[in-house]
Amino acid sequence: MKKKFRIFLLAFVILIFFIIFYYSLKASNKNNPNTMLNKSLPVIELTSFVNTNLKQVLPIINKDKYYLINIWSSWCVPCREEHQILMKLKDKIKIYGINYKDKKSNATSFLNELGNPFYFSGSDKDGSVAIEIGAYGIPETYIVNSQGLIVFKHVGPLDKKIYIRINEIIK
Amino acid sequence: MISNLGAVLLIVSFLTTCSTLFLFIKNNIIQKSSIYLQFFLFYKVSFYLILFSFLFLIVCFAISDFSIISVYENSHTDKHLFYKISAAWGNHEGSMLLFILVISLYGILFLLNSKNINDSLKACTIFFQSIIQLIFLSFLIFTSNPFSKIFPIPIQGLGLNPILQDPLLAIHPPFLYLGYVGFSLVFSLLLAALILKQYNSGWASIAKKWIMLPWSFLSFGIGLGSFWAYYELGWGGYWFWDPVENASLMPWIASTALIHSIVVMEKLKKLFAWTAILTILTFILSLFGTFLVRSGVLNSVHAFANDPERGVYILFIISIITLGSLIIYILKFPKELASNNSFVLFSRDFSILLNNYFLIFILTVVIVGTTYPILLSVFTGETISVGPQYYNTILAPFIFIFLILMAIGPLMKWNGNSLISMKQKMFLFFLVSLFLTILISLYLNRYNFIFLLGVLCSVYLIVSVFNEIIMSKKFFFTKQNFSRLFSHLGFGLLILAITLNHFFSKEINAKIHLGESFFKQGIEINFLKSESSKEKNFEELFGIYKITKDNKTFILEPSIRRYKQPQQFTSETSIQSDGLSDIYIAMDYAGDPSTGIGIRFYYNYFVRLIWISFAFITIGGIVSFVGRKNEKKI
Repeated sequence: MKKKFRIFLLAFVILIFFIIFYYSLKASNKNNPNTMLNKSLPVIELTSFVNTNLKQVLPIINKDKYYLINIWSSWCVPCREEHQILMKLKDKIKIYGINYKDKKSNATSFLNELGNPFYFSGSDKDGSVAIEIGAYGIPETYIVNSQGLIVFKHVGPLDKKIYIRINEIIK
Repeated sequence: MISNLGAVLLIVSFLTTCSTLFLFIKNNIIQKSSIYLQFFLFYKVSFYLILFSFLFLIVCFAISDFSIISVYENSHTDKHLFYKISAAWGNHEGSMLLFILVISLYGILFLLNSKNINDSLKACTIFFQSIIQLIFLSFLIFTSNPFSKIFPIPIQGLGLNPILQDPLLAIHPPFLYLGYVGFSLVFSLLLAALILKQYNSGWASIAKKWIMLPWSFLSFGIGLGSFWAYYELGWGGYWFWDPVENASLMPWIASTALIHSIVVMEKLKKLFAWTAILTILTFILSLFGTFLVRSGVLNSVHAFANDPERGVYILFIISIITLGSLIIYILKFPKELASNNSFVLFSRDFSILLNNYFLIFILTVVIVGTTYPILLSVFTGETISVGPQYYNTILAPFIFIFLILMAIGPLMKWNGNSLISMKQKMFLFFLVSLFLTILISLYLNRYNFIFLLGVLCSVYLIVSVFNEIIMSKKFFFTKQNFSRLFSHLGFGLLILAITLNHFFSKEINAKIHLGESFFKQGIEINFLKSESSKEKNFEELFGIYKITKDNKTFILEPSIRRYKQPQQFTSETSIQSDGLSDIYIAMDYAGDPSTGIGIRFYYNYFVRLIWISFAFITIGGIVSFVGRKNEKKI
């Protein structure tokens, strides 16, 4: 009797563990590059890396028609390549930056050198915000519509073709 | 052609393993006769089939047969032959095949080294080993067949992740597998002994070497992994408490506890239940580690190959194996063994019991730190990462006490209070190590409390080991002592090195222009020139730096590589030794070198002692495996 009870208890405990880890597997699906497309942007809070009192919560509601989120870092070379395209986009769409695993001083000098395309750029020191929105690698760019849906996602540096596509989307 | 052959071999080995199981059941349960020869032969055949299937996979990688998906996804014709071959196990499918090969290999090694074991126990062990082998073979064939085809056949492959293109990393996973997959054998041996009612102190004397062997491999594998992270990833450190690192550390801690408890079981016929539980735990944690690394639950820098779908299967396998083994334990564990567990205070067995409590505590801390972020994200959706701060703060004080325990435990007698007889020695060690600690701190001019405590405790252990070496009357002490002394010495040196490294290392991050130089923290860095070169599959940009520290100059040449397939940057570090310490530079991935390049400079104090101590620990384990002659017959 005692043994049966023990086995039952054991099976129960293992079942619980199974369920928990099963859900954790489902949750981590968002790391696949395309799974976040056409889903709503999770709520994230960004803290400005210049002034820690400045915060911005995304998604923003019904302000502009579209806005763009870009994950960047001063140590990432492709980010440097795509920067001029972000500068071109600056006046057409509001750009929110997520500064991924970077040092404040390096990030500031990066923007001083190449110009600041960001309406707001928050810091993501430990990379948790990037995980939250399902980033795959940096640089990465998202376009979010007024309902908070991610309508476009691009992994890797922006180039001319992507620039034209973004222009078509936000028209 | 070869790829088809490999796939066929894999299926045949699956069938052979099935028939091995069938033969055992037919012989033992249905006919009650024991003809083992045929059974063992079948098992050996299944081993060779898996071996050849793996060799065929390697050939497919070597000749770049892109008709196979995994070759296409992980290889490229431009790659060096060595990396083409190592790419065979650098991906999920190939590494799972290697995983199965290691399971099977341990079964064969067991058959070759089991003259002291009766046939029924031998057969039953192989039976359980075949079950594990079958479970993973079906996982491999049905969810991740390494020989899956792609059509139309691509002309070029996608390439292997460049940070995995490193000679050390090519041999690091096989060693880790030889380590934690190796625990499957002692796991099977335990289940067999429980079923056949042969779980006794004789079993412990047999099982011990099957723990020592994988333990040594695992220690070595962890050391290699740590060394790889140190010089390839360019973060300047040797251990990051990254979940993937923890995945290999967990079975290591559990098996270390097991090594100690099994000695008590062998010598004093105590701790039977505890040893059985630890054996099961060690193997389950090994599987759990595989799950963490392979499934994609982790958000880690080197969760390289992951796929949530497969994760479900691995999770299912772990659940089944855990449930099955613990049911056997509950039903078959002999009641009479559970009673004798009295311990005399200050006896050697008592110190081993304490040691086990400490190890289990450390294990719990690591498990919680590794799984808490996963659980939190399931329940609240929050994502966090647990850093070194957590582990260092919680573990440091316990490690210090643990060191003292490691020093005085071996001085005690089995089964008897020996506090009075060793009081003098303990005090003497204390004086000697205090003296040495004062010397060290005067020399280094640092008086931080934690630093002093860390040095004191590790020196205490080292002193006690040296005392035992000097005091041993025989010219060459028994091999078992030798192995313990080696491993304990290694551990003492390891903690000493970590303490010194923690308090005296320097880190400088700076942006520096060509021809410029600067002076910081007593170190002068001069950026002399930059050069670039083109290789077969990458372009490389070198920076040449002159470092001046304490009137010594070092020339370092770190570089950045831009790989073509897949497009990725890697930072190649440049390291030079200054005695046991390292001068270490890595460059950041920057655009135009004329605008200045970010560099990370590290002065890693006594870091080489860490690798040396890993070697000591491993050698201890190997000596113990090689030198065991006093096995009982069961």
